[in-house]
Amino acid sequence: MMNLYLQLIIVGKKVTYTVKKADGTVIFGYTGNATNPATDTSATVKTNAAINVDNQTVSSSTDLADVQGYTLNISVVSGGACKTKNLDAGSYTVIARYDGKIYTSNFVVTDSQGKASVEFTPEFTASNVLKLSDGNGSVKDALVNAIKEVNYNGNKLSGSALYNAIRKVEGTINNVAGVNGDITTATFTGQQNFTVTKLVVEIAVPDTSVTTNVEVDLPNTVITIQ
Amino acid sequence: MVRPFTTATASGKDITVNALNAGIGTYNYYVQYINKDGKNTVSQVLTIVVATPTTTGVDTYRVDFNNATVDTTVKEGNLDTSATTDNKNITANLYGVSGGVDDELVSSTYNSGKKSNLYC
Repeated sequence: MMNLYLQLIIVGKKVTYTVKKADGTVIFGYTGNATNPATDTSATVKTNAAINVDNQTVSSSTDLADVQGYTLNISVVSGGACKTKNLDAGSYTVIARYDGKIYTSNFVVTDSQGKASVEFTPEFTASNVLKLSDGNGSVKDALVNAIKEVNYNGNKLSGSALYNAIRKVEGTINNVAGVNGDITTATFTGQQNFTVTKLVVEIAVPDTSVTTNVEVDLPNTVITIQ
Repeated sequence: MVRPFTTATASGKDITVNALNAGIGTYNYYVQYINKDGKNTVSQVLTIVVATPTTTGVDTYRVDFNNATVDTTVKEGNLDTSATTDNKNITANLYGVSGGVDDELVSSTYNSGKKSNLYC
């Protein structure tokens, strides 16, 4: 007599992940509210280069399958010689939808990176005016000519080194739509005023062998281009 | 049969408690740190609860993090080398919980802790 033994292993159901900021903004995963996303006929997803499920690539905003799996991976800080912070400081909620029910838990990102200080040139400080004809045809050029140096705990940037280190400028350009927008690559063809509200530079971190992006502690800075 | 107790070892700043095969119960360790001057600067009770899943299966699930708090400050001692491995990552998984105890990780082979066997 022969005994036939058959083991049937049922493939497990997948978990559908969502990651939200404290204000409720979805930064990754399923964006809907259905308990079972498979029943959501218009299900969409949010992609995020720093977050994945089971190392899958999310190809589009309708790629629900690739935010489903088992392990959620979040790269909070990445990079080699330059450390990139992929998530801002704050509290985040992970929502796991599984077998018709919803489970949540929170994680916290902290950041105590100090700001860099800035010193403007005496010539600029006297008037807050730069001449367009003096090579001030862009926001970055104008900032480099207005700033004497940026100092982060003894590591200093000025001139072309500062130009190359500028990673982001936010502010408002007179007569240009948008307030406090990204003006990093903005250029000028005539007289303009612009206000800088945020300046971020990549700078070496003292006592380490790496760089990172650091915000510059700016005073209220209005620059007039004539 | 009397099950063994948990065992604790200390190495550097770390205290490791091994609860493998330990009997169900609550174990309290009284931890003291004596500095080089012979002064007791830290006294704390470390409580270890050993429990076992129920036999009725998973009651609920919970999201588990390898790190629930991450400091992204780039400075000496925290993210201070160029090695790509010196980064900060969080992984999250779903655990089946039974009787208040993590029972099993939800994975590709997980089926509420049950597998079906057919005998012919």
